Amino acid sequence: MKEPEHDALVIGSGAGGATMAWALAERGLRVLLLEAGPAYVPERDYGLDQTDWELRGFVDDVEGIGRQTAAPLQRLDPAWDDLRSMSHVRGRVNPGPRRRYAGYRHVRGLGGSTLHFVGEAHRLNPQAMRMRTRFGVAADWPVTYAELEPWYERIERVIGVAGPAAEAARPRRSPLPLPPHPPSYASQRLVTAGRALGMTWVPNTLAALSRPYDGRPPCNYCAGCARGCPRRDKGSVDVTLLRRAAESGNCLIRTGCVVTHLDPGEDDRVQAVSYVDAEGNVQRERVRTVVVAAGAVETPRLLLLSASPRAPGGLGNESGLVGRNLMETLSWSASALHPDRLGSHRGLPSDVICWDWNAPDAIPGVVGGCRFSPTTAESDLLGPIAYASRVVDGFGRGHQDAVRDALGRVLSVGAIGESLPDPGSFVDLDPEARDAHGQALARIHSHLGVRELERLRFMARTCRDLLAAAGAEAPFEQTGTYDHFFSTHVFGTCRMGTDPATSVVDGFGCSHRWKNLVVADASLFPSSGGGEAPSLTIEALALRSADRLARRARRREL
Amino acid sequence: MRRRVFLAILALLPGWARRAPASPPDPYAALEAYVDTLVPEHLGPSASALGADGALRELAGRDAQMGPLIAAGCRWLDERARARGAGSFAALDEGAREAVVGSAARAAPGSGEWVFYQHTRAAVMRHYYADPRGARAVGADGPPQPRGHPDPTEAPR
Ligand SMILES: Cc1cc2nc3c(=O)[nH]c(=O)nc-3n(C[C@H](O)[C@H](O)[C@H](O)COP(=O)(O)OP(=O)(O)OC[C@H]3O[C@@H](n4cnc5c(N)ncnc54)[C@H](O)[C@@H]3O)c2cc1C
Ligand code: SF4
Repeated sequence: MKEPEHDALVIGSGAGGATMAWALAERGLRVLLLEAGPAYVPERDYGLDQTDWELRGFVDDVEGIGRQTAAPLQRLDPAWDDLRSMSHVRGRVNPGPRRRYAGYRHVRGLGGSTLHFVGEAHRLNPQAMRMRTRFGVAADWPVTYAELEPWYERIERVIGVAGPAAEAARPRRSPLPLPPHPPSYASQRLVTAGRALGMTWVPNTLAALSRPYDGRPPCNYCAGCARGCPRRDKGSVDVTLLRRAAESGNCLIRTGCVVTHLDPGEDDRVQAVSYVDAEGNVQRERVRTVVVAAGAVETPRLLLLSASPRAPGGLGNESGLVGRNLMETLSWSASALHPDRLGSHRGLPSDVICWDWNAPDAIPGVVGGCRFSPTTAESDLLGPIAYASRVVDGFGRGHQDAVRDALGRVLSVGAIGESLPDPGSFVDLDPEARDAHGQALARIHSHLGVRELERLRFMARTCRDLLAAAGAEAPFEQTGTYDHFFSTHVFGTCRMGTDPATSVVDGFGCSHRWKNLVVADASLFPSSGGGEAPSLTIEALALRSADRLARRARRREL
Repeated sequence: MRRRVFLAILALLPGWARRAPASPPDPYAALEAYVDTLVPEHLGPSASALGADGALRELAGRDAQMGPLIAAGCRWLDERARARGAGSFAALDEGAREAVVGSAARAAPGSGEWVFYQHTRAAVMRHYYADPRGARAVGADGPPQPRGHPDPTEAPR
């Protein structure tokens, strides 16, 4: 086999992989980026300008769910019946006795899950980074907020983040590059209602342009981020980091390439990466450094699939923690009709946010924080189909009159909360289900303990109170993750730390044993944070790690 | 969702089939009247004028689970019509059709007629309001792009 043609091979092009590819290429390393999915052309592939736009999810939605399997989930307990998802049209959304698997929501495509994200660009609350020391749960971060701060700052400038100039809980050395977006008319109602309840709402920090920037136009408030932004103003990594990586001339991007395993060699080094290319040919690429950034479910899968006599429990799994400590999305959303016409189908999906209970000790009696934000767009309550099928019950002339009357009056609010590691929540290999290449699929195990349910109950109650304070009717739909596993944010399955016995990689994402193996995605998180969106932190961590890798490469240490 | 719902409906189907008289030549004959009961001509064209019955037929033809469900649902509609002394669902007057469909809407969640109603209602609403003529009927804006919503901070006009 010939010598490696590249200094680094990056697997996966989401928040973590794209940052690595760009940052290494920018620093002069030759990078090969392998992405399983296709490349999308926003103007051509996203359907927000089509008359049937509401029928179209993100282009990849169907495939994005169901590539994993799930072990049977926990039985539902009547004591928590107030947390069951309901719709006034269909009653209980899950009428069964057990929690139901509704999917790990992600995108397989160049840009990964940032393609359909809603652009929240949050720094982690520093208080949420020492959960073991302070509360005896999860694990401490091996990197401090102060160490991450310059990398946050750099990535915010590159992708173009808009938001408030300062935030007490998350100190910054310099203001964000763009001013905040003004809250939409509907969000103003939430802000006012929150104020009446003593809540503080602020403009959200968003990777969506409030002014022309980076050669891209500003947002025109179409609310369609989850279907992919056709204007390229949303800071998904395809139009920001990967564009720059390609422009550097140092990064070769190959799409449609599914990595099947990594081959451990001698001297505790990964020797090669095997993949099936877009033409279906099996390829083997020798590597100097390999960065695994396939997301917090597929990264552990890939490492477990790479078990061999040299790595019997899976590559990098000397601690036995690859796949363990899965933290998922603990979420709640409630939607109700407001008496006034709000035009709530307009604006950025999550334009304001309440951080009052974000710190890990902020919710009375429960460890772990949460945040609140509008969810009308994320609940997909934007167009006439949603109104006719979900908002207004019934049929006939009266139904159509009521749909006309209701349009734009939905007000939704939601919360995302801390997810703490649980022995019952992990990713392993499905003993039966296989993908098209004969490889075992990732199998998700999930268990919500009493702590999570108490936090969820607080989140649900606050959402209901807020809608009532805004003058809305009783909620017509409430959905939560008590009776469904439905995750948009997943973390923790290759935890970073200082001790090889209790972590998979070090604070730079480098394997404790395998000298040229780096992990650079949401798998790294030792704790999830109190509802912060993770991409910005994934990117800041990857940027910091890439900087160190590049310096080591220059010193010929790789 | 789909799987559980269809396990329920499949369990009910033989009972429906036994109670129903011999199938009419067209198992989906009730569809046109049914979709027009869901969305009659009112603020815009009726559902059948926008092809919603055809969309359900097409769905029945391509989806192995929806096919039997829709056929059984149509038999049920005709059976309810006969109980009211009419030859078929299509032969009922509008008020009687609404009463029959309303009884499916109010039936126990998970019962065969409820599952039929829920699935077909959702499919008809999707078809009707994805059509610009349906969307216009209720005053919906057109697609969100390329115009966007230039000033979302103001009250809607
Ligand atoms: C609806 C929705 C809204 C969201 N909103 C926000 C938000 O506003 N802000 C935020 O920060 N986060 C948001 N998120 C979450 C965010 O998108 C993810 O947390 C983040 O993108 C994860 O980054 P990652 O690098 O870990 O993985 P991903 O972005 O999922 O990237 C992994 C990549 O690896 C590729 N891959 C996987 N396996 C292989 C293989 N074997 N070979 C080659 N390639 C492979 C995948 O195709 C994918 O492109 C949202 C998520 C969803 C679903
Ligand atoms: S709301 Fe703004 S960022 Fe989101 S898709 Fe529309 S134009 Fe793009």
